[in-house]
Amino acid sequence: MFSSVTRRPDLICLLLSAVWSVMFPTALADQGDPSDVVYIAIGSRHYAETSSPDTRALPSIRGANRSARTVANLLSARGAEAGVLLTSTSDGPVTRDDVFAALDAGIAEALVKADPFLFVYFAGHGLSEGFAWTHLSIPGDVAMGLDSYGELELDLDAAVDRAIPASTLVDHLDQSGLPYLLILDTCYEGDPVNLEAYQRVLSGENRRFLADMADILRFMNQFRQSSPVVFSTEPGTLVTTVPDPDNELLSLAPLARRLALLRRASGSVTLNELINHLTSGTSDTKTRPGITFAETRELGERVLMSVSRNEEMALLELTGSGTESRICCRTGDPISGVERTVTYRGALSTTGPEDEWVTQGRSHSLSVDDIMLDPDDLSALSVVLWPDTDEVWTVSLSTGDGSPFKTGETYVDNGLGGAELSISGNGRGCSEDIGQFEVADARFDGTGLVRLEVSFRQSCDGDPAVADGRFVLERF
Amino acid sequence: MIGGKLSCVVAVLFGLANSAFAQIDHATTDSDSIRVVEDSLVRDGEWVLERWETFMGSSTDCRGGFSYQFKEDGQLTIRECIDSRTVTTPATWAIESDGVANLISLSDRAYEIVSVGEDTLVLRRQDEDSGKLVEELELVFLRD
Repeated sequence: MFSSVTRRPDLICLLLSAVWSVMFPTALADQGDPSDVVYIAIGSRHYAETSSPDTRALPSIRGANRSARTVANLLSARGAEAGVLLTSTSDGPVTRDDVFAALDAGIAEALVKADPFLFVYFAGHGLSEGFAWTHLSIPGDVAMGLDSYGELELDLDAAVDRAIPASTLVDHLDQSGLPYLLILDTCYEGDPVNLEAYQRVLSGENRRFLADMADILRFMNQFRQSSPVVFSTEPGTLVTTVPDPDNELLSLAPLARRLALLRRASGSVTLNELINHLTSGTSDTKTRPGITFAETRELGERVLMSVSRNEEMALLELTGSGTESRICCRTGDPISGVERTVTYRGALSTTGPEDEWVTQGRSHSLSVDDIMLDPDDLSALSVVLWPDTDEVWTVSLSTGDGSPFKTGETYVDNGLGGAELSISGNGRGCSEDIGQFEVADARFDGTGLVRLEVSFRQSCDGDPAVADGRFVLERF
Repeated sequence: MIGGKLSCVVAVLFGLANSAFAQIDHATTDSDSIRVVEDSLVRDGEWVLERWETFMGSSTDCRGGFSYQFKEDGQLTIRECIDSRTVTTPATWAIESDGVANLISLSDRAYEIVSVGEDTLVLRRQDEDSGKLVEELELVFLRD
């Protein structure tokens, strides 16, 4: 009698819950199985030394490897069944290729899971540029290039090849088709570009365009997506290593410390709970909140950590393969070499009719004494002339076939490839430059370009109005 | 049943033998124990006395840190954060026994080894005349 009374509500409850779970599959229980979480934890403690005087080796980060190991141990203890741990050694810094090999190994492991989720963590140095706030994780085989003033020189085009932009990591992970969490436990160092400084050289329309472009790129670099990207700090700011909560004499990267605090937590942890923990202002007094703009939606209920260890854990341990430092990240800087620069004096004069777009019917004449160029650029150059006036002009010339500029030669830019001519100034340039330049004087010695003098004629976008002019470049 | 007890005893003895590496106290001063201490100190890594706080960007500045790195040949590397810069100083180290305790000399200063474990090293220095404790250092091993 007792048993029949108690069984009937159980049966009703079971039926109701079955119906409910069919109608609202995510409402009753958390999603995902922590054993399907595959982690890729990367620590870049060691950075290669450099002997080149115009480069700076990045300092070792005591705690970066330990941070990666902490993340790996945490997830192994909380149900993950597979993981990749990549750390550096004193004679094997982590390279960019090492990072992507680790990612690919983790992705391959995850693709055979029933309900996979990638947990990707990187601890190391991090930089940025100040226009779009492109975050760059710096591999261990990279040394930073310095400009002639001894300041860090960071060219984004070069950095894309040698450092690891966050967008490249995101693209790589997106291509796997898997949901993921990406934690970049680094500085977000960089000086913001002051767009106001361009006010004196750009027209109102171009200023607005520049500001809009910066806003768009900065928005893109926030990664407002369902798979979260979490940074240790805001763009343009620094972080330092912090104490390991389990041993105050040892250091961890800041978000690794927050993750380490979860070792003491009881119960399972969902993605949303983890994000809240990493970005909360109150969950740890010794670190600043992490930064994310993720919109996790239903992915947020995914359970990443359970309360128990999975005894079937498969861990792939890798170490860095770097051998020597590469220079990062200067304009035109070859992968294995150091760019040579020499100071030149440049002079430009140009004029055109009133309906000519670039000159606007005026005569322009300017000279600049501090143009830094690679003297080995014998067949193509692009020179910015920015004197102490409101004018900024750019002169780009190329023979088109890699042969050096030759005295007496005329090079024709017909818009179909080959030789190139482009003269622009004061925010005015052509979409399509058509014209020609004649080399009046091209002189070289054993160290490169000594003097170049050209006269040119250029028209914009098929317009019959032509700008004439002369450009001279002389080595000091 | 007897076999079960035997294996248990063997396991305990094996465990004790292993723990000899993990924890040496100052009462043990023979040459074997000195060897064990030396082996523990010269592993790849650093013994940290003060936590290292460094930037995770391009800055080479530090905010704190002090560590020792012991080499088998008696060379000692002392790294210290001084005025925001990491300063590296070469020195020497050696262990000897005075019959009562194991003593380690770091540069020109001698410390009694209170204990050494897999991850911890405790050193103590007493005033030679009064015997009063002058300094006690607790170091932690940082693997990499």
